Amino acid sequence: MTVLVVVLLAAAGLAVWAVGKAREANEYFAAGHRAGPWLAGLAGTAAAVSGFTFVGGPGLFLVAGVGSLWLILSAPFTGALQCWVVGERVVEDRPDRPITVPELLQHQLGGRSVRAVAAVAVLVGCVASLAVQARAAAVLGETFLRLDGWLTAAIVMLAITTYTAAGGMRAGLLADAVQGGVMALVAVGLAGAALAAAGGPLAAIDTLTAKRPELLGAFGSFEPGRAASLYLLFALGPLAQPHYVQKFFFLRRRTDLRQLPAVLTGALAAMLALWFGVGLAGTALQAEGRITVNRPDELAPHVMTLLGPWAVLLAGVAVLAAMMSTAASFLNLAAAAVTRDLPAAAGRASSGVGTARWVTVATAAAATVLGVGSDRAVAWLGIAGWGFFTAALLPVVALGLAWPLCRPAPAAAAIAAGALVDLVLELSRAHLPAAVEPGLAGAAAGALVLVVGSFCSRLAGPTTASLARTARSPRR
Amino acid sequence: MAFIGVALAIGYLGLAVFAPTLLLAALPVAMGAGCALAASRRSRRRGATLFTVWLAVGLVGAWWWRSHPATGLGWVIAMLFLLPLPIVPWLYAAWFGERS
Repeated sequence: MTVLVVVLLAAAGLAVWAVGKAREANEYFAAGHRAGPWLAGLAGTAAAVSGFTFVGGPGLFLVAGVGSLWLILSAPFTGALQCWVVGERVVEDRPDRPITVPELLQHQLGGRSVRAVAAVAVLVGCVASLAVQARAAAVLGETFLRLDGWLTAAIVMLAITTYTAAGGMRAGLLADAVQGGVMALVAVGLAGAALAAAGGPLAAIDTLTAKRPELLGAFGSFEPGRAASLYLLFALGPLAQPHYVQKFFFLRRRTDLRQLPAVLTGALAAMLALWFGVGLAGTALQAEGRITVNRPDELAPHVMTLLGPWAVLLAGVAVLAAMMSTAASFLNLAAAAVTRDLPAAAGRASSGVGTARWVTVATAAAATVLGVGSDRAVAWLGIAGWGFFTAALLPVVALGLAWPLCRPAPAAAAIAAGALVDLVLELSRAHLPAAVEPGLAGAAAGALVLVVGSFCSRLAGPTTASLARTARSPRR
Repeated sequence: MAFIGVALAIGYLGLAVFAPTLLLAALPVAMGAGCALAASRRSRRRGATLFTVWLAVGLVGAWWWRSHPATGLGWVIAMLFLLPLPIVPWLYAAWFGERS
């Protein structure tokens, strides 16, 4: 409880510091384009790594073994891939550049429809992804801190909302970068301690080879096709996650991109050490009967309890940092979608930073109710949120921004089709073939709509929007 | 570019539903094609080729050692995770200047 009180006080202090500095949209939504590669890289990685990684990852290792690692095996190249495919199209050396993903799409493709549909997709996905953080906070309270799940989720979301509503990403960038550094250090330390408690990595592997060999090998308990599908989802998915793309809006100048992948990759690899280390060690400890786990999400908390109070405290801090950094980004993105993108798509002026603060509060409340009320494990909630953004935005971000013939109306239709297919398949996930990931299937459907629609539009002749786009020639 | 996008979309849907095991074999081709697609308006394509070859070797090894508990895990961690970890950011930084 002391940790939560300290976090609340720190959040209040940060809010007081930032509230006067974030009066303009550029400051509130893009941190005034002040970040260099280190700040943007640490903050971006902190926003990317959530409770999903710290609570859900080790739990998924308990269920799927090495199969769970296929979600994170693409980590060595996703930083460079993001900079190459998205960052180099986003970061421009001029002050009036786009500061949200829907705005970027309108800027590059022309037409207000694509901005409107993208804003709705971002809003829905942000609320769903925020629910994952609220759910992880409840798990944190129930298992790490021995507190009521609702109470913990409410306090954590209140703390995040306080500084995010007051200071936007001007406060969020600084908090995220500090949280990212803490998470990286703590993750490596806890992974090492957990593996040491299991007798070292080789002893843990020997234990599992003897008692649960089905979790080892190259794919664990996953079918190779399912592992490949998850690999693809998490290799390409970062291109379409708005909280990943958001870090490019923070950068000062285009040349900052050169060093960004190194910072992103190093920080991410350090944080993912916890997934592998605690997952492997905890599963071995459970196989030996040294810990008893009723639900997968309980694996990490029980390993920390075994290590001692210091580990519980550090893990609690790391999980809190992970949730807060990710949730701050989602809250800010949702506020931008409601107060900036939707009004602009309707041809009206932005609602201003004051309204954005209230939208931030309302979004946090809705996500808390949704997340704590859900009975799905954190890992599967996380995959569902990730898949939604992948389905909705991957075709337009990866293909649409690079393809000169892409038209705005088909791009808007592709976003809607991808999101819809993902939602329908997600609801019937239990009946799907193992290798079908709703997020990827949605993205595939969206890509087909984008290409076919753009060709049909082209046959029908140039549209006003495409002519306007050609005149502006914003592409590089 | 549109052809590659459509081929990737239809290929994924078809393989995931009807031949999921082949998805693993198609993965390096799909990722390589995706990189080529992303690079189609840039000057560099050798990165896509290098990436495809590395991923193909990694996945062939994973398939080969899929039933070997320790060796399978070791291969996946070493070949698919640790090996590219320092190389990819370094390559990006080295080629960034040329692209700019």
